[in-house]
Amino acid sequence: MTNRTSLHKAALITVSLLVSLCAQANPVATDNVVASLVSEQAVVVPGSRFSVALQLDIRDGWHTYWRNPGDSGQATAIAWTLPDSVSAGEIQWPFPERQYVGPVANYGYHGTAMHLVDMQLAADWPIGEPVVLAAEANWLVCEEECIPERASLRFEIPTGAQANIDPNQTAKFEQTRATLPRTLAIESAYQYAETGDQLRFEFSPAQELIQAESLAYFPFEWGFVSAPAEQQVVIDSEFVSITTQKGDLRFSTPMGGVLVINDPDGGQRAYEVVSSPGPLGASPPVTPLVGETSSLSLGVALLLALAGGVILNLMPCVFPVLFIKALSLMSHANDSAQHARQHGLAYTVGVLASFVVLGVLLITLKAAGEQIGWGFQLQSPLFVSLVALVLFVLALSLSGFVEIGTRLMGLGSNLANQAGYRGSFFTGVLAVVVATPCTAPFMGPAVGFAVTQPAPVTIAVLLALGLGLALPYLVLSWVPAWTRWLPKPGVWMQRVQQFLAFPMYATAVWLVWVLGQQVGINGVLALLMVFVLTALTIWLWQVSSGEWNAWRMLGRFAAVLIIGGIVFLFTLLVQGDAGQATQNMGADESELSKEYVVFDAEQLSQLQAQGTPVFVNMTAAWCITCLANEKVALSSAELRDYFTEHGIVYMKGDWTNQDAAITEYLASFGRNSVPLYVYYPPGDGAARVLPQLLTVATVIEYIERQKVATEPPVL
Amino acid sequence: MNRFSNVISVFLVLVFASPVFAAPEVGKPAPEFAMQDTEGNDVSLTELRGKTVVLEWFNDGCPYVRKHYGSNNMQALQNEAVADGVVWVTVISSAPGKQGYVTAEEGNALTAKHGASPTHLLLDPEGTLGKAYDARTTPHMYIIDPKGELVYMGGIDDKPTANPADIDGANNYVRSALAELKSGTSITSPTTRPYGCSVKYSS
Repeated sequence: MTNRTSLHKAALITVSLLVSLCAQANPVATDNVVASLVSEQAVVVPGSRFSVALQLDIRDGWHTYWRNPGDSGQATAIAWTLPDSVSAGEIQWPFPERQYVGPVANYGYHGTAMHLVDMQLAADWPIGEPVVLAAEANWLVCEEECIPERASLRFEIPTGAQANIDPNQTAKFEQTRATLPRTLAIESAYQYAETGDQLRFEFSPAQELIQAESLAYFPFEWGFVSAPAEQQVVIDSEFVSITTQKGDLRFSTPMGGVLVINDPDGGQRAYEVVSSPGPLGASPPVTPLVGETSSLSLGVALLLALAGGVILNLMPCVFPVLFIKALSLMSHANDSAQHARQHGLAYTVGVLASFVVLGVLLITLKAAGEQIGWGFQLQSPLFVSLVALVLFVLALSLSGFVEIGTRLMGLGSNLANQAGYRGSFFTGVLAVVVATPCTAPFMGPAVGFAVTQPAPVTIAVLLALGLGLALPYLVLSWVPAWTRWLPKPGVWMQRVQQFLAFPMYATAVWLVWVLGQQVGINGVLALLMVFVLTALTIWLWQVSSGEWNAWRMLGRFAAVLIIGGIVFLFTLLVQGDAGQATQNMGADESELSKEYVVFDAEQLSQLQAQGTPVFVNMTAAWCITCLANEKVALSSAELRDYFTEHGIVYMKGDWTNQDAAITEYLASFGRNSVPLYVYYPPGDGAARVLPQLLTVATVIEYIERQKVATEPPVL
Repeated sequence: MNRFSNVISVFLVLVFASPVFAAPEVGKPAPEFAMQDTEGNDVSLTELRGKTVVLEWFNDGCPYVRKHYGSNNMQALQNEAVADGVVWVTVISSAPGKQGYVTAEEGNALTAKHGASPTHLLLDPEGTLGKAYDARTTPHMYIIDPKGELVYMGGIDDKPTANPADIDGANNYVRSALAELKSGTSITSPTTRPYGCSVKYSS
């Protein structure tokens, strides 16, 4: 009762305070609510932004509703009537509380509900003329029974040359602002249980959340979570999750909501979070995909990474390096077994060290807030150019054009020589550098898993990947008996070595093309000139080696000059602006516009909401698997016709250059690399992830299967 | 490692925890019921196999229910449906002492007063039927097809207000779904947001 009287007293005080400012109709007392418009400023300045609020003082035991009212009820609404010079923003909703009514639950407010709205007053408003704000407010107020109520409110604020805060309102507005959800870069994923009706959220990074005593989640949309269901919260040192019951609908789009945190000291704060559908930590993806693992625990991720590393050895860019290592092993077959092992170890250490460097870089960049993923190195034109150049020189070396780099390759170096071990170490580094373009399907999930995990796990997975890459050579060097299975050395070794130059040239050419996609045709010109100048330098260096001093000096001098030229061209490359590349791509797109829609997360959710089926292809110019799939399946006339015929929108995202939106989209599927193929069946069907190797038949068959699964039974 | 044990335990909960009661789901068999209506007739879902059944949760004191009865919107829909051979079942789950609770006589009087024409009026003061269907609001609408499968659950229309003026121009989900069911096409919106007052259960 005391509450009630104090509330009424407060209302009376408000009345007397406002009576001088407002003519009539503010506040309005209905049966269960005293409604009023209040302003933070007693005087507002034309051209400024100011805050007002619809204040509802609610009868004891009764409540009004939040923007999503929960199981029943209705959100409070304000319809403004404003002068042309005034524009009103949206209601800024304080975080709600859960109110149970028997087995149902609502999201709403009791006591006083403040609906903050920002107003913008035009600069040409005549100073001195008061601004009249009129609003028709509608709300539903319930105890157990519900009464729809409304009030017409009218409120005048004087204008002046100087703003004047109303001291009576300051505390109230400050308190209200403290209850507005803050925006914070909390990444959140959600996932439905395969069976049952459970739904789980995971939040990271969770530094802001881990001190919490308890958490509560409120979705913006109806049907996402069951309003009355218990929310089981796990708060760990670096891990926060909520498990609860799903609502009536299954969503496959990012969902907005508010996370309310109860601090141990009794304080409350709230954050606005957007949760994306996707696999959580160590649990399986939304829909297990054909031919891919459904569960990715740490152990499985490590095994996958190890296998992925082994397979990398067969990639066209890596295989020559490995082959040459094996050759060097054979040519020293007579040397002591211990030396061979030490070379194997040096090579392995080189590989592992490179992966640690990559991992630390990945973690550091991630911590710095960069939107990055696996293959991020290749998003740098400079890196692409350097790898292309390294491959070009290696290929020249394999062709027999140059003798340099032999020490690097470990060829011909004396096993007893320390430089030999160093050579092995750097061969390992080289293997990692040239392996990065070959993001094999196996690596995607493993690396994707790795980067969403705490730092030690990321490093562990990357080390497993490295160990896999080093493993074949390590085994060969460790068990010398096995080298006997290798063919005997001979002239054929030289032929094979020369032949292997060609995959290297091909890889270099492909990287030049990637560079073209990134920085345009001038960048390609610069890099090709670097190739020519590099070859010229090497030639000059070599021909001058055997000459007498003056010629030699001249040759070396010319070589140094040319190296200067190379450095200059590289600086041009680095400056090569992405804008040009975008223009190039734009030109391409006008030609291809009929074939695909450029990826746009917003458009995607719109299409989904309309029930339009969508096929999403996430690709990058430097991704070999992607290009193969596009050639084999996605750009075929047959599949295009099929898409057209079935009204499937083909959406394509290009990750060749940095793109935060695509990185985020990949992350929502627990991925950190391309390719990623996702199909959204018509209706509110969840996202289906396709395998990473496609043919026309598999794609069509896959889509047909979804159709059968999602179509309602015949009635 | 604590983290991983947590992940595993939560995951186990996620997969194996069985809900308190299985919520009804579109595309699944509708929860069975067998009870007497206010006229003393036996009503059971099994007996109604072969017919389309509409369930409507009702509370005479609820402003949202009044919106649709005061404007004759609900009665018109009932008439159309019943004329089409649909079995219309109005359910009152209000508990004794709560808003909307009625005896059989009072219930029949309400039907007469509104000029409503449900096939059956069911009283569910214990809330058993309401909870079996996870009915949360009045009105909350369900459609069961002749095979006994739930084909629609949700709101009466897409204007979640208590204002009768909003009936004009609203998309009546129940009318659309019944028409689609009849023509054999798939139902455009099989699950929608129910709106209204909370059902006044005993607990």
